[in-house]
Amino acid sequence: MPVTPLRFVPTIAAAIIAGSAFAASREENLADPIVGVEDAVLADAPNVPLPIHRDHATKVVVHLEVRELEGRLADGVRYTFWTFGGHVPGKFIRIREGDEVEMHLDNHPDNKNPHNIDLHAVNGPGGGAAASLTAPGHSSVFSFKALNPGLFVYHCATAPVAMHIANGMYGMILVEPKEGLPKVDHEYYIMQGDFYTEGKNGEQGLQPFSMAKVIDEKPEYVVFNGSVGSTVGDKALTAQVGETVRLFVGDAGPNLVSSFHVIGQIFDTVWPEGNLAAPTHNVQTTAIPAGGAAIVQFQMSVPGTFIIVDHSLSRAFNRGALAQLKSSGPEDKLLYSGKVSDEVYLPEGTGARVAEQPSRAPAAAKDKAERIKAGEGVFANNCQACHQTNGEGIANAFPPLAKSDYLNADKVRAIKAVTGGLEGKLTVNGALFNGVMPAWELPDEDIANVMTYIYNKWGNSGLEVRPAEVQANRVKQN
Amino acid sequence: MAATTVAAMERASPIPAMVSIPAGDFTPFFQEGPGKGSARTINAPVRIHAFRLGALPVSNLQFLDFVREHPEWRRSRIKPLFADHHYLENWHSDLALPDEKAASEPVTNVSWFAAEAYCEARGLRLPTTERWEYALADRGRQQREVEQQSLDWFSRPNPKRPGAIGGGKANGYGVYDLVGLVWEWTLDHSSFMTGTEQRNTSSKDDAAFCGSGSIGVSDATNYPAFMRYAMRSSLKANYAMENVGFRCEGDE
Repeated sequence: MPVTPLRFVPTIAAAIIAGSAFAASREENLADPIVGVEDAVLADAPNVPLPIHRDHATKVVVHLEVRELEGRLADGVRYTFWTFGGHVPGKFIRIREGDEVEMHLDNHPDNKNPHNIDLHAVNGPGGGAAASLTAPGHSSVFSFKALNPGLFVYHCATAPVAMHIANGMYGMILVEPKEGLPKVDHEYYIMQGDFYTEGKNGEQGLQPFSMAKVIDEKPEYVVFNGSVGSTVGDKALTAQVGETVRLFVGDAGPNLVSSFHVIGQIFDTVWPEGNLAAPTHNVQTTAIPAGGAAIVQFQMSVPGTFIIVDHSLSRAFNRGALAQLKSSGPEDKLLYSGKVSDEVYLPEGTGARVAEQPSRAPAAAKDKAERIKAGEGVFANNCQACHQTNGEGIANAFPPLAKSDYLNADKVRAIKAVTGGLEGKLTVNGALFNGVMPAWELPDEDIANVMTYIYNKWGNSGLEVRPAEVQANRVKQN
Repeated sequence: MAATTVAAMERASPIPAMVSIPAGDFTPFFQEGPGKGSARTINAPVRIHAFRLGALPVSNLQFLDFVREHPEWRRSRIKPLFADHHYLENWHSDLALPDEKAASEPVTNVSWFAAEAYCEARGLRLPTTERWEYALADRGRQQREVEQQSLDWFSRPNPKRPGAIGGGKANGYGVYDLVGLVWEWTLDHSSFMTGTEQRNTSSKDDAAFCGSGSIGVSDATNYPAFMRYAMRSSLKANYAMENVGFRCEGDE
């Protein structure tokens, strides 16, 4: 089916019409009688519960179980998360305006700390927090009537609140308008949060929370959906060309405001701040305040991998705020030629990158197997964003490492490329690239490990790179 | 009664049951009020008179002695008003600890009522929050370490067992295990921030959540202190919890 720009028009028109009809008044919602009772269907990111088709208000029973548990923050980096439901972000709650929510906050007995919940969808003291301070092994119950439609953040608000949020205690609740939202092909749930670890970004092992860094508002990690790489590779969001995608996006903070952007995709419709009454159109980047939300919607035009970022780009490239949306389907050469001859955009230019370097010297690998294992983490933290988890790179932008004739032909040249960077025209496996690879200022051990990892993956030659070889051939930076 | 513990007995020089905490001036993190009728200025130093504090949290073995002497506090006999159904649930039975190791571990799953009854039976009482915090403040000694130890402890999910008492280092007053083992009951645990009944009748009620929690504290960058006060506020006197124990205080 040919894709033409005209196809966007009905979508936008429908949104505008629907937008103007959205929402009853608060008085109407308060008066809306409650009929029946149901258990809420909750979902973990990136999934969203199905749309509501009820034509009346009901009582919705929500159980959120607070769990404190250790999990993965980045490759090789562990962290003790405090969660609503076992994952970060917490369960997505979907209700209809006028509904009465009976909220059960269940604090698991194995937890160490008291918790509560503040839902921004609540009109009441503390958004429910005043009624829900709950000791471990206990449950609090309160109820509220949803008067205002929109997409709202919820979070733990127990003092010190910045610590509870920085540990992952947040999620979102969608209060659908009576009319529902316009039908789309895919709905996804993305929530940004900043994390503050004692160790620097990439430092391995179980990382304690840093009080000093959260007070200074200097996170080591800024991530979507609770960890670096939560939504990339085979966990990327997916859609077909021609389909419409709606993202429910929240920013938990606790401190940073998000400049939410999808690289290579204009938002046809944005409901800024999650406000369903005032959609806006043709937006490139939408600001999402900490403790706020936005709904963005767009139609996939061409196949490809679309990178979702906080366009405060150091966070995307150096701290983890990066996810992927993969679309598949027919090309449309008129809409997008696919023929790239301009420079690849990399904010760092050719300058050396000290990114992701652990402050401690990495432990020396004893054999090739250890080297490959250690290299996997280095790859994930530094290389994967461009060269991809499967080493295939991205056509016309980032060369493949898989079955790479460039790498396999000359090990010393490859060491020089990694330590000194590359710029300009480069042919890999018959395809021409014209971009920039930054120089990596990582310890010899890390370079040796990651190169050995690459050489032993994806059909490459299987050779080993030793730290001494890196030292001998390293391109020295100033 | 001999208040020595198994852990203490194994030491060459046993840890005394109670240690003297000298008088001093101290600025509490939260002060009572600003509730109705309170005339006290917030963030002003208060005078703490000398008192004695348990050097260690009360152990299971010590509590076992207590319930032997006072049958009304045994698990099968306790009045439901005084403790919820988790009371001593980690014990094997009324008068049997789960195992030998438990003897030197802090008693947990005890309600405020039971803890206070234990102290009173010994001619003591639960420490006030102010005096407990004063002992922790330790005249400013090792505060950075204590703070980090607290943060590390919050970041670890509860272990299956709390570990033996007296295993760590004493602070400057000779007090052990104020952080890192279990939370501890205080006499007036519910007097700060949110009231335990959550009735929203006083201005204190706003203090437990979000930004308003930082109003009226002496040092808003002291996250461990927030954690301690929030935990105390979340407790009701009949709660018996797996990570809450206690120690006693007495007059000098």
